[in-house]
Amino acid sequence: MSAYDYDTIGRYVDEAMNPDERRAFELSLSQDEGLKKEVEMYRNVQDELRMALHPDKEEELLRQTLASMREELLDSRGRVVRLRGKGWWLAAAVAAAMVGLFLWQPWATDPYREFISNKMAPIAERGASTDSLLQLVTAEFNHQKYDQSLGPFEKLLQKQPDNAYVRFYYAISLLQSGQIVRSRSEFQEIFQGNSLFQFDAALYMGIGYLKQKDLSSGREWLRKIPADASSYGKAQALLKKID
Amino acid sequence: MNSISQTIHPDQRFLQGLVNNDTAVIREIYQRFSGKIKAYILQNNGNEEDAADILQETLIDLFRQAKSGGLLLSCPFEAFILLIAKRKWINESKKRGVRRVTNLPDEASVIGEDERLLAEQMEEKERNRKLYLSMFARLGEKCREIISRSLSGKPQEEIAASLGLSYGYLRKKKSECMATLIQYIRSNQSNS
Repeated sequence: MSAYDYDTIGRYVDEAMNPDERRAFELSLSQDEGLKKEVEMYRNVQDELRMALHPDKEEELLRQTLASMREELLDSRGRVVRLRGKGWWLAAAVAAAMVGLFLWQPWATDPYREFISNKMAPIAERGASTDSLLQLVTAEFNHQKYDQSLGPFEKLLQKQPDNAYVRFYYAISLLQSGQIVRSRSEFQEIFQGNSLFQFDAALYMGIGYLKQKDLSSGREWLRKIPADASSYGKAQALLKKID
Repeated sequence: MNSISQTIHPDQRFLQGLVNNDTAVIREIYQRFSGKIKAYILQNNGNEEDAADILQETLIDLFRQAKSGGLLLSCPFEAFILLIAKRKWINESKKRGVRRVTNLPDEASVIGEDERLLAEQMEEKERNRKLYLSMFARLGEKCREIISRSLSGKPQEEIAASLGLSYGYLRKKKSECMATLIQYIRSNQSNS
């Protein structure tokens, strides 16, 4: 390789050379395979790091779009596994059904509906902004407008991150609006705390898995609920239902 | 892949949709193609989250390739996205120590040699990206800061001033840091 150092290579790649220097460097480049490889390596490393450290706005926006659609893929009730193809795909879907995977069934109602709470306790208005938000989420939750309740729930949780009551119903709203994976991280957090909702959270973790036809994980969560917990009865009824 | 003589498949619109962040097109991609990817991953020891991760990474790779690499599609999008996603999942499974991954019937009839080669290149690029980042993490804090700021797109003089350095010294330090980084990368490549 010619006697060029990384400072020179860097200035070439970064287009920081004056025209004469650039011409001389390009002449060397055309005659020196080793130098060419060094320049290519320098450029590749720099380009990849630039993309990783400073993702462009367009990629960020695409990531946001994909993140929002990701929920649809994760939601087993979504439109992602349909029995309408042919060939190997159909064989794959049938094989999947045989091992107990969930297939989209638009005709099926939610078999766990009766186990899911759909009422938050109404509160009296006291004027504080968090109370207004609490009123709003309570009204939306009780009218089963789960999608609409998510934004106000999140605002409320920003103000009261330790409020297990709000977090619990927020997690149910996520579950009911089909965002099972997001709901799971909320229920998990509640379960790990010591609030009154600890074992209710375990119940909903179980329901989330059952909704996804993951019976084994569902059972595992339902069995975490001790006999003296208020959700024990529901958990036992669910276990009986699935066995 | 990029030869002028190649016929561009009408499914190029899916790549364009990704580049333009066109939500209607992206939704169509999810609706039409995610089922097969999901079914494949679920049958091969993965779960729904794995499927969502693989699909997301595949789409980001395709976006990057279409945006900066001028990816032109000469086969159906479905065959290509499945090829990339399957390869990603096979690599991920190897990392997790899963030995058997079903080889679903190949889309040999629609996948051309160009696409196969491109899929390999994309895979290699991804491997390199991960290696570069892990070696970058091994650099000292000062070097990481200098490289990161130098790649921010701001004028170098401005970056030098914000770091309390002269422009010449910033360049010198940056090239030293890049030399160390490239040395780390090469030594890792020769050891693996």
